[in-house]
Amino acid sequence: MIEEEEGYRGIWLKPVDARRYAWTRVAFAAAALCQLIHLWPYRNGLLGAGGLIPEEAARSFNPGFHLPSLLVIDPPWWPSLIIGAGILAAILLLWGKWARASLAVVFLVLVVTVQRAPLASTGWDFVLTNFGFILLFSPLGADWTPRRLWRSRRKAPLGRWEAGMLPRYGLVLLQIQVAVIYWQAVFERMGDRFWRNGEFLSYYLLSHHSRFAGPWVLEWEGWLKTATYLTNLIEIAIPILLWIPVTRKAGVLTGAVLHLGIAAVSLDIGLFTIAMLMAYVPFLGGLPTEDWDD
Amino acid sequence: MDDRSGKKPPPRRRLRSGLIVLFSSAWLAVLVAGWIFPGSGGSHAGKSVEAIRWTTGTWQRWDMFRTIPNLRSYEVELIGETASGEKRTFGALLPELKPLQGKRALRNHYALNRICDQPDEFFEGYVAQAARALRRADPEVVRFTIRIAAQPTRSFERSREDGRLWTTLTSEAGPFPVADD
Repeated sequence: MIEEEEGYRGIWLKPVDARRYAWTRVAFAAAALCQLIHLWPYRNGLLGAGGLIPEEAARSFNPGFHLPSLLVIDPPWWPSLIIGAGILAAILLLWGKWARASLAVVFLVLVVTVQRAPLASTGWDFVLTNFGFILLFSPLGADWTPRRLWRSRRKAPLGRWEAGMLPRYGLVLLQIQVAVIYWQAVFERMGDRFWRNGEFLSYYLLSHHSRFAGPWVLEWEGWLKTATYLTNLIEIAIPILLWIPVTRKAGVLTGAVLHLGIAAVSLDIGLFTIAMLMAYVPFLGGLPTEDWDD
Repeated sequence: MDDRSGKKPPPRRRLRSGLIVLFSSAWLAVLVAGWIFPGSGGSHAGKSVEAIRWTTGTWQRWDMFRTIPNLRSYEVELIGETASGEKRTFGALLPELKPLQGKRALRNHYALNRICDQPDEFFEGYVAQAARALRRADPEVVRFTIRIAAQPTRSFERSREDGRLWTTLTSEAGPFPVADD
């Protein structure tokens, strides 16, 4: 039985449907699984002893505790073992099996990868590690396997006790993290002249990221300028749209269009799209329930 | 706080609720501080905060595409030279000396770009690792050079004048001796 809370405590302790945590767990596990499969071809070059990044340089780059130093990285099969363990743990996490332990393994593998190869890290690496850290201290809805979750959408609405209820603090922290990601990214761009004069997207489409680089970019410069400004406005708006129940669907749609659009014109950052769409799941409610508010 | 029966929740549940509020409040402060003081090699947030962030994987530096990606391509290769002066070409990816694989291998692109960008311990370490790899792959090679071919994007004003969107810059670092194993 979960007590009702008010005020500041209510922000963190208000009970929500456990399936929201389960869907978040499934989404994170799926995104982490994609990440680890993506890392597999890089494992020897980035994690191995004779790879691109020497262990000594990676260790001195890290101002904190260097987790890879706990691991023996000389045997050539070691990077395969680390990434392989992460992949297995992500699958178990997705299913809800030994969820907390699986999550800990996934999180550790993701952090070790970033610490071992800091020069090869990307923005979505830190989306996943930050989400993983918050989830380590959050409920995971482990009783709900993906199959059971999917079936529960079609059944008659669940009673609050049948669904299970959990304090919503983990979801709230994840939602705030999403806002920090978007708003800090926009804030960081304010001092850059290419964002200020609207030329960012044009240069982006001529870069190594672009699928369609070519002279057409110069002809469409006006439209691309508008799109550059619109990108910042959208990123400011997305967390607000997601937070407000009435505009939540619009927020999801807007964010999906933004990130899928980026993936469509880019060669190599599909995982960024996956990570950011995963980040929307903690905002989603709308599960079939009886007459209790969520 | 009372549950629906009107009774106070047991002490254990109150303790649990208190810990949840405490942890959540602390992490809220971390997130707000992360927004105000983004991680930047310690220059904004302080070394101790950076240390915690790196250890826990919770670095709050969301600067994706803070400025333009200004390269169309970035190719690196190792040019080995034998004692007789014969030149042999090897890929820059270690440990197998494979080629860079073009734009799709994003992490290798980032890593080599950042390694070759400045002569720091990452560059020195890469040179040492490359020397060892070359020695193993081809014992006849006695020295090597790192050749970089980059295609930065030109400014739009210049591109409109002559229609060329990118320029090609090549540079070399070395020669470096090949080490014994």
